[in-house]
Amino acid sequence: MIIVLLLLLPLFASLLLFSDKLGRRSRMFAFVTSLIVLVISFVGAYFYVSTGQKALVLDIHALHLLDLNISMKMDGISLILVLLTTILVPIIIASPERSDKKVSSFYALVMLMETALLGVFLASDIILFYIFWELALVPIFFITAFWGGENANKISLKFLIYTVVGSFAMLVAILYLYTLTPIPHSFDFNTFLTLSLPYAIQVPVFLAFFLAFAIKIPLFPFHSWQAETYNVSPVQGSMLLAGVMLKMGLYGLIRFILPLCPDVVAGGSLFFLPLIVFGVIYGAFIAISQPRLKKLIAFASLSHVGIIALGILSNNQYGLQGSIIQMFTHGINVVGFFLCYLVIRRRTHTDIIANLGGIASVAPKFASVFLIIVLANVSLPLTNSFVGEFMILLGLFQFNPLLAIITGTTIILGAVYMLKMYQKIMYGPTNELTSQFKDLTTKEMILFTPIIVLIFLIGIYPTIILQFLDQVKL
Amino acid sequence: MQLLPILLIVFPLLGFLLLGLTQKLMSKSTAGILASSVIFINLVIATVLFNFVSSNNETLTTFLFNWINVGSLNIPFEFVVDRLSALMLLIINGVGLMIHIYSIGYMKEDEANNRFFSYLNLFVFFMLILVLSSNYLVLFIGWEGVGLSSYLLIGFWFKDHANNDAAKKAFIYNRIGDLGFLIAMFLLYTNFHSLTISEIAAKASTLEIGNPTLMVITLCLFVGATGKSAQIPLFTWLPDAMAGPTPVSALIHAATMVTAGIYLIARSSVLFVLSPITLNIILIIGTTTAIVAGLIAIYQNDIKKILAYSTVSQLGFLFMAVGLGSFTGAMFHLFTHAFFKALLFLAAGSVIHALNNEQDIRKMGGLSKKIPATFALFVIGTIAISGLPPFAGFFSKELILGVAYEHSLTMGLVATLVSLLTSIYMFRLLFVVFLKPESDAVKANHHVHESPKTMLLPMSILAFFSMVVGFINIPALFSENHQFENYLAPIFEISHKLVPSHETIPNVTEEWSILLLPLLVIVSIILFSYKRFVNEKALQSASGLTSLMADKFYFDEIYDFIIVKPSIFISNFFRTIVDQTILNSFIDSIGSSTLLIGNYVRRLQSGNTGLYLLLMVFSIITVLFLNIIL
Repeated sequence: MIIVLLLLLPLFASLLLFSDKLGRRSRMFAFVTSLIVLVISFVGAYFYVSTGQKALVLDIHALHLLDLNISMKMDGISLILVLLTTILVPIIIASPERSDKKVSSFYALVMLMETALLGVFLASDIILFYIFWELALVPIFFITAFWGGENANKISLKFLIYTVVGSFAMLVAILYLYTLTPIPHSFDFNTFLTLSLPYAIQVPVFLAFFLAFAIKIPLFPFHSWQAETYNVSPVQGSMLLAGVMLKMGLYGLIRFILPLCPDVVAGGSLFFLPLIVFGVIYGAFIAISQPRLKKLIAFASLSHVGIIALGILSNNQYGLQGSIIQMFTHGINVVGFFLCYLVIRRRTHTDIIANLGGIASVAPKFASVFLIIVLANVSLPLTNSFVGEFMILLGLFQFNPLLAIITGTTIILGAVYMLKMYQKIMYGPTNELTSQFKDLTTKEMILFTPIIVLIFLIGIYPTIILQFLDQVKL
Repeated sequence: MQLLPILLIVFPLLGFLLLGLTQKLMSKSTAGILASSVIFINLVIATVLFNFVSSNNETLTTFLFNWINVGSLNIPFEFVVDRLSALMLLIINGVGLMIHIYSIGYMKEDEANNRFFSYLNLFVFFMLILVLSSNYLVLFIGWEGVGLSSYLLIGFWFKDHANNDAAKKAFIYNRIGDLGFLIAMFLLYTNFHSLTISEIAAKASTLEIGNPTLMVITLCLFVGATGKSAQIPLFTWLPDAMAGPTPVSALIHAATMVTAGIYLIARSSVLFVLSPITLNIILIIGTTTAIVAGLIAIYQNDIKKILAYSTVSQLGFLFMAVGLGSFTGAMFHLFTHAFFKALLFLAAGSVIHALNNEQDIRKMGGLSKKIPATFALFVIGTIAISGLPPFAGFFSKELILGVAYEHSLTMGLVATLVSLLTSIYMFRLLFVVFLKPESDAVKANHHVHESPKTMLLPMSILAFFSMVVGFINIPALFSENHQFENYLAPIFEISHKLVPSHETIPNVTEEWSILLLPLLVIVSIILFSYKRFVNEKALQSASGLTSLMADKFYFDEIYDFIIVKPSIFISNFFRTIVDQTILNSFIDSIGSSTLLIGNYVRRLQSGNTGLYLLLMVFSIITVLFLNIIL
């Protein structure tokens, strides 16, 4: 029931919004709907914890003719990502918009996006997973193309083609695996998980899935769509992309690559892990000299999600569990970061770091909020990302100490680019752009509140997330 | 009793939140008094706890909740009060209280006074977590947290980018050390399946001396310590950290935070005594740092920088003591140093305050008559730090020198040299600032004024302790009173059992030579520097080797050349060449080549039936042909 509501509510809301009958109230409508969805997901979490079930399950044999199940399942991992989505979507909707054109369609697309994302995280059937996976591309493509900045069409098309290429590889692998399932063939996850493929098959399957996920996450060297897309996309689009959508790729790693290709993962330290580690360092280095705030967020994010992927692929319990927490916290932190960007952008109409400065002396509240988000991004202990990062590095260290140490240097590099950026924007003397900078309004404070609360709540009492991970085993 | 350690951290946290959230609403004096009373309550609690652990040999453990508890990884939020942490509690809250009170006077003109006090309380909060934690990971919370407070306070006057650069540098240098600490924790967990300090000590004590894993672990921990405690190669952030307000330099960058590295090693003493190679490396690094920083200090002209290099040098001295296996000696000097170095910084702050933020000692002179109280206090601090009897520094240095001579004569002489450097730069500072004839700047300044009582009172209390606190551990020559050594004995009991230390009482002849030799030299140094520095012309430009010292051995320039510049180059290279040019054009070329191929393929669809037929026939032939050979 919970799962049905989670999927259908945003879908219906989306359809209603597309009909364009609500006019100026459409934003409010979308916001309220997303809040209801949030409440439902909380109820789901409550059921999950209180009943002690392994998962909430939904099975509908609706398409009996094709022998397809609509099979959805919410276990610990799904639940965390569902919560992430349902928490972030209201924040994204409530964050101030940049343009007034076609308001209703915009929020219709956001709600459709929510449906697709929740579908991806809840699907328990690989074809269903694939359908939602591709469906998620549609709204984000239109959001970027129509509401984006300069060159939006070209860049969003590049993004679309790029990810579709990856998805295609995944589709081939899915169909191939389908032929391997015992008769009657099935797309159910559980059937796939019983396959236990020989190593020779694991390798191509791994490569196909990995390509799809690596593009989506993105991992070096498949990231070149990311910075540009973030850059032209409206902030809400960037938030959806960085906050939730790229978790689809990481989620895919956990759901498919780990169970299907265990031998490749176990021996992976010499093949793909060094590449990911390089990407982590690479993103951090680029962030150091990045002149624009939005692109800096993109490259910082490239570095952070690389670490999450490392944790998943470290073939280690701590690494995996740390990654799952980190998927959640990265979503929170990156959306917080984009909100700060939005605040700066709306007041100064620029995001060129060198042109800003001195904001802390005119806007102390914003300075504190931004500082907390910066600190969460450099994983200071007692902020949310420390626990996850510690567990990831601990897991990676047990898998391959050298790689863990190299990855660990990002705690230094992260401090370098984050503090440099914060100093340039917030400290120093004010200039004509920033001297009139207004401090946060009450509405903006409310918008930041859930993010700040989650930063400290998870940082101080991570059990709130960890409790869902008891059953997550390698 | 169980509740007290929790209260210890709750009060400063509340103070921080209250002050931080109500910044504009609270008056400046209320904020100062609130922040100070928080620390006062803490000091009372700390005293109670100190009495508890010193009267009986128990440790007090307080469990709050499980911080991380997943699978076999269990990290509790748990506090331990034993004799070592109780000692640190007294230092942090005692010195901390004095500095809070002093700040009420010092910061009252500053518009961000309330923010200042909230950060100070935040610092105390993290510092207390650091010393109270029962395991390394929670200790690491405090470890990084004090780094954060230090960052915020160094860059407190953030309108000036010089301060921000110093703050950022401090944070990043600390982070380099923190990576070492993290790696040490990974190794500890991998090998001992625990991060609880006492459990690890128990498990490690069964290992043999020179165990290679322990060596790597202790080296990594030491890397962490070099960051926080400003040792070579990571020491250059500390002199820059003087950009912060002077009370901050006194509290964080002299008395408490920078000693965290020593505390960490003392906490892990079992691991370290089992790793003689690490101890030797610590000995070398500590001694080198002490000498290098001491030499640099002699040629500096900024009053706070001199004291900062002095701190680096004294910390090097502490590490030297640790390297010699004298944890008690290191802790004792840490204890006495906290008082007189805080005193010296506060007195320096009083000078700076009197001269309207002048820090260049060349523009001082003759201040003994203008601000006599500060002068008197500064003299006490100088005597104490130089190791002249009967003030505190004498006793603690003597303990370390004794161990050094016990180790070898060379080591003893080197250690003596280090402690002599102290008296050179300190008496130079004293004479130039207070006794040299007035400089033109001072003559022109008609507003030279003594500091208010809120500043003089805490300084006097610190001066009192700088004078008497040494008597808790009197050299064997004169008395059998070793209160301090006895107090800490249970903490280092296991370590000393595993590896018998040098902390034995030297014989009478040795003791006399340890005592008298430095004293004689110090007296001659005082006389010499009096002649030299009170003389007007002495502070002219340096040349040759001395310019090397005046230029701080070019550490910053070297780092800039071998680390900072290449990093920026790599960053730009990755960004412009690799990412924007190579990768992007590669992807785009895939895109455009698709278009190109499409273009060619399109031409095939010419509508010419003959061509289609020809292609068809060719294709069939090819397929058949392939079928035959395959």
